[in-house]
Amino acid sequence: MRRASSTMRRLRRHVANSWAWAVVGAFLVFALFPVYWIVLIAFRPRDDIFQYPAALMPTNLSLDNIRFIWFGTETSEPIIGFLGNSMLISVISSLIALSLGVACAYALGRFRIGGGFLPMWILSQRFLPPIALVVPLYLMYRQFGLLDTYFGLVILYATFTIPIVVWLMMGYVESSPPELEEAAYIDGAGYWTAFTRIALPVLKPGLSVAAVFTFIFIWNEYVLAFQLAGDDVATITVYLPRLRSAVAELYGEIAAASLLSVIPAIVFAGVMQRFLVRGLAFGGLK
Amino acid sequence: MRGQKRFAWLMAAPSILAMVALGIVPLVWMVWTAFQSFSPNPRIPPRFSGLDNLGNLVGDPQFVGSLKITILVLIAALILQLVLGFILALALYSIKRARGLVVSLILIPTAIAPIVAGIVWWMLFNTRFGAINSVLFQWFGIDPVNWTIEMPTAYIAIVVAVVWQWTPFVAVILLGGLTTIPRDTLDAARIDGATAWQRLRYIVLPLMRPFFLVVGLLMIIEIVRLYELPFYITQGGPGNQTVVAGVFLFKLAFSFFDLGRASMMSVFLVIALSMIAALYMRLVADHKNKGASG
Amino acid sequence: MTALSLRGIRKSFGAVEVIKGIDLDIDSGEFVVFVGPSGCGKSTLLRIISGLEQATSGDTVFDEEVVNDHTPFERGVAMVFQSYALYPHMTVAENLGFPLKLAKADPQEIAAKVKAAADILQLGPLLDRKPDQLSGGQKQRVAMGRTIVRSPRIFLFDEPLSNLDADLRIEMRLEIEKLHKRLDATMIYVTHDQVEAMTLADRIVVLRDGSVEQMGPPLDLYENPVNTFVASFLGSPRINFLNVELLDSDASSCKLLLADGSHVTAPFSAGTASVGEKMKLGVRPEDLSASGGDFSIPFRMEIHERLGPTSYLYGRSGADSIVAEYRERGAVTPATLTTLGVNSAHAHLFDANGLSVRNRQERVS
Repeated sequence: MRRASSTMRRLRRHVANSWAWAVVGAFLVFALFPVYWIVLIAFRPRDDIFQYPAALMPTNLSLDNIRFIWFGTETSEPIIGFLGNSMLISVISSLIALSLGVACAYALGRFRIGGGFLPMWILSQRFLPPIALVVPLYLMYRQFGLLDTYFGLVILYATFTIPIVVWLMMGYVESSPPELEEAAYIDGAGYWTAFTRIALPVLKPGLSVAAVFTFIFIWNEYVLAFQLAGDDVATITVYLPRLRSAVAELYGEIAAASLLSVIPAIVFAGVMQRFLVRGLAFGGLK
Repeated sequence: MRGQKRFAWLMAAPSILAMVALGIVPLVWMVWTAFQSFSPNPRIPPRFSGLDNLGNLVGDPQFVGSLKITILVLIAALILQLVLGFILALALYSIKRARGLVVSLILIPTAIAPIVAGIVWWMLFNTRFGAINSVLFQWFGIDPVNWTIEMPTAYIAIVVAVVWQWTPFVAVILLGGLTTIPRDTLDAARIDGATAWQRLRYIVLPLMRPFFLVVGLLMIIEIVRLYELPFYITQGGPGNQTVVAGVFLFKLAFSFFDLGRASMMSVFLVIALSMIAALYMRLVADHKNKGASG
Repeated sequence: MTALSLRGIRKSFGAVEVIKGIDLDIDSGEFVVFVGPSGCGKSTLLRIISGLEQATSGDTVFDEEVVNDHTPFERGVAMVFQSYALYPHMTVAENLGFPLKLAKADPQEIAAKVKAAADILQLGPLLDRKPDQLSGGQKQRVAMGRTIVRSPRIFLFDEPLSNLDADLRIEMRLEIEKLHKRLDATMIYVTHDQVEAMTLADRIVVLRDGSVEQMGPPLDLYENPVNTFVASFLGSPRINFLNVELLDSDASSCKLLLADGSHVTAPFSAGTASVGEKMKLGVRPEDLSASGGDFSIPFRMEIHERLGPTSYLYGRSGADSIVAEYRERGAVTPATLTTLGVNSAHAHLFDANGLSVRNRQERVS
């Protein structure tokens, strides 16, 4: 009888968890099947792609699509230039947003300037999506000759991501003890030294989270990149829709390009995975 | 110490200046151009036209249509995201092993660019070569569905893509909320005789309220600004029936070059977003105050 | 009558066994305190009794009925948590009435019972407040009130006072004692605080590493600890241990070699310990005195800590650190002390394994 009851206990624990795994499993399929499909199509030969019904399992392996995208053709430039543009713009804009944003967050979180209004105003900026401002920004940029320039896009992306950095970093500043810097003041440090030598190193984990958010935001942004740049300065998100034309069905090629385009964001998010989940959980109410 | 405020303002100044130059200035510019009439020819200067843009906009059946479809997408997607996201959050909360790995896999859709998400679902919903029709035919014997070029399937396709992209995010925020509920509180409810359902109803859901509100507002904002998914999946079709607010704005500005009316539409969007944002900030402020006193 | 029996309870988390086979009977109306250092398994044991945690093996028996698979509610237990675990979104009245509401009690009955519990604990004026508007002591009262409303078969307390400051802790300790008297209920109380254990318990269960070291009435454990662990766990300041070597032993006395080379004769038997065995002589601070005693040990004073009526002398006897209680006022200046007298009736001799020789004797006989 004792054995029976201990089997029951184990069974019960098992059942309690299996519904959760069933739900999680179903969601994983939902979340990842589209990704699987892109990979599948990207490596599928042209003849196999245009079959009905489409084969759900891998068929023949072909690198034609990747080759097309990688080396380009007379009508389509190689993908590497767009990836390079995106990388350059994402990295530089992120670095600017991080440096300016952390300084601002420190000023607000530590010295409480601007009362309650300034932080709230900055938070409100987070809710102005690019699409709401793209029309006046287009007019402004046309006026000032900033259309289709690296500079124009970089300052815009930096500005749009500063509120994310400020809001995230303020939480970290407020939860780190001011005594650290106060000790440095006692030891004769000025504000700037205390900030760079004492506060910044403590804020590093927060900066990593902020870096993930800003990088992914910029890497994935389409609306501004398409309207305010897009010819000389074309990012990967601008390149992708161009492949879709009425003339030729570049189905596999689009899949291959999409696949290559998501790799940097996913790799970056993966590397920062531990920070990211905490940052997201944090970001909800902070 | 001396110079503290000065140092702090110097630190904050570059960010504030940038946000004024590229946040406030365009806003003001936008309000100004909303009352002007633009010619499609950029060499002809715009002229003041009073409330013409507003009248034209409100009188445009496409404007009303874009609001209607945006609200329809909003209702369906929001309900699905919150319900599915909460179920997923509960499931993630119950599993202990490999939670970190599972969460990062599940978050992949949110990390993918919206334009790529559009491409992915456009491919999946393709009538002849898409995976969805293939599954329907091979497993259930259903004939091909013209997903993206008929209604209401085009609408369904957009909602599915939105839910796919954002439910993981909702789930992770709600999971964060679940982890703030102390184990003792749930144990106390078990001792008091609450069944799993009653614990959910009387303890978990009331305590999760602020998280639902916040993530719900964030999702409303995401859907109001929706552009890439319908742009790629349905291209606004069939017959402009899935031209959501964002797509409509783009058409006004960059297909018709009616920048005045586009500005008016932007003003409209900004007002809508501001009201949502104001609600959000009220919530955050309340939460912070509570946290400070408790 | 036996209210609760534990039979061969074991609990493992993964590969780690935290409860290693516990058998225990608790009488109806008894106040039992589980005490032990953190990680000894006392809270896990309480959670197994409550039904929040499932034992890996063994039976939990309430009133002759095996309740292994019963939920906490079916077992009829109520519990006060260390964190109080009040429902933050409910008022005090709603917190108190929640179990009754779940049991679908009639609203008037709920109101009456809530009022009765509130009267007992003087919660009347707080009934409409939310938990975050209450002080620590008030939260504690509400948590206790929530248990009373249920009229449970067994009350469980999981370190309920450890989040309170010293004064409030004493006050609430008395409150719990009063409650026990008034309700005449079976209570199980977990703490790492030996003062709470000594003052509250009808019976103390000392746990270490998932096993029972000793159980019995508080004074029994204090006077007759079975080993050095129990001896040092109960009593404050802690019992002193002198390293000694057994030179000779007979039925009524034994001769011990102290660390400084002197020998003393103690008027009790060393039991079955053999000559030459390294032993520990345990003497509580109150059994050491500046003058008198049955034999003396060398002492070099380092600090004299005055608490008022009593004071403590901290110092060394050979290599062993010693604390002695000092009640004489001014009779001998502590600084001049070179020896301390030992009241041997309350001294304990422990063998090389830390077991009390008295205990060993009893086991033999």
